[in-house]
Amino acid sequence: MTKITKLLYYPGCTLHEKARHLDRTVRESAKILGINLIELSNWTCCGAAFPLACDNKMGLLAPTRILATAAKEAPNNMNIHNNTSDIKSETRPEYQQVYLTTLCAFCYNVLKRTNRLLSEDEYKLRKINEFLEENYQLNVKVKHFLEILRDDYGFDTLAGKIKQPLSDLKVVPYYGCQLLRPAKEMQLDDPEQPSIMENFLQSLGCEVVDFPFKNECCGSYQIIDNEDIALELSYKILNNANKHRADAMALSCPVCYYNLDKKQEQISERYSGFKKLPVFYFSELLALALKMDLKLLELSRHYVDPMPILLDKNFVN
Amino acid sequence: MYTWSQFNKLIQGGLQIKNRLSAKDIKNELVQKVEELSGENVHACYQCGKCSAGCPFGKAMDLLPNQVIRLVQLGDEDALENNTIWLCASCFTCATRCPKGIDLSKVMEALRTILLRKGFDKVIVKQIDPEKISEVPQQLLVCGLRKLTC
Repeated sequence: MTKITKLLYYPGCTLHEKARHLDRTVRESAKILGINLIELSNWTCCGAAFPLACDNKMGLLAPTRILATAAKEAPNNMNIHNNTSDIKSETRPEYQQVYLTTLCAFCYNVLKRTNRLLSEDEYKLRKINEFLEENYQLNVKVKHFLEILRDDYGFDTLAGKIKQPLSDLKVVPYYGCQLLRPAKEMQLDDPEQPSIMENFLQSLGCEVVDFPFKNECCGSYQIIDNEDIALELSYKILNNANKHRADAMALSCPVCYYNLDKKQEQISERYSGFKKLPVFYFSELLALALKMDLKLLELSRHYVDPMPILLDKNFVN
Repeated sequence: MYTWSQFNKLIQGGLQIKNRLSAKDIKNELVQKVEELSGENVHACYQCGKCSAGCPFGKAMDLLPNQVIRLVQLGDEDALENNTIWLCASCFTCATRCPKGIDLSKVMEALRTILLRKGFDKVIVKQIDPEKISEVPQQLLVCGLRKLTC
């Protein structure tokens, strides 16, 4: 295990604005853990949806450009991992692996799948490189920040750094779809019985509540066109979490966050007896456990106010 | 459509059911296009229904995912005329569970793509509530519009 001190970071379109508290809390927590997140200086939208049609090369251009930029911007001595590579490094030992970390589940999905597709299709890689006038050689490894904490930092080490264990806080982990699936390509965790979020929450001292809806879809972008069905899906997830007597929910995706936090406004109007449930980004709980300044946490951005439960458990004064 | 009892009566009454399937129909233009766009072999499907059992949107669909696959197998253009292909949000639950390893989200995308490339828009951007546009996370909008507009 190489000690990581610097990490290239791709925020994506939502993290500077709508999901600013996800971005901030990860950056600040990482600093406390001794990891410096370095944002790519020149990045664009990743496309948000991985192009599933085989002939759609256009959809691969943006993510490939981001990967190529990451390869170029990684300074020579930064987060190089010779031993932990899985993409073609055996056949191309001259190219060292560079980590690129993401927080948004959609960006993670798009970048990781693009990287994999290019590694399996030399023709597409050559074609896209020529079009972009880049020379991307598959030497970037896309990693979610949770994955870095699990595989490179270690949840045990993390547990040792916790200043305020979030004991007694009953949290349901929620994965959603993009983080885990398709599992063959994402290879983050088991698609039906994942454990990365559970282990992460345990290392913060939380009481993890297992619930069957952790990898169900929240309705995703259908909220644009089919609000009824999207709200119903989110309601089912939240209601089940309540049935399991959870105090809060932890997740990592800004789309899930919107459907499951902000949309509780409509859900509570629509379904009588619905009890609102505070929803956190995983990193907000990390920041709380590391006793980060509350101002940086921006808890006021939540639709469902998390303060009552945090005050009740004495995590904030 | 017949109910089961009507169907039984017809059979007992000596009805012969003739169902013709020719290789020409089965490998028609639609099937070829879907297979080309999705990279999946739709004929691998044996209609177990596991995809439909786990689909989070199943309840709101007018055809279940396995029924759409069946129509594609038969080269039936009805596979393009249903809300199923538009409700699929590519959550990959079906793809994870399919015992035959078919990635249904790719098949659904192929069907959507056929229509989108003809200039069809499922969502008219101008008709979306501007308040909603300013409220939703950027990525949700980008993803949604890439899936639902041409």
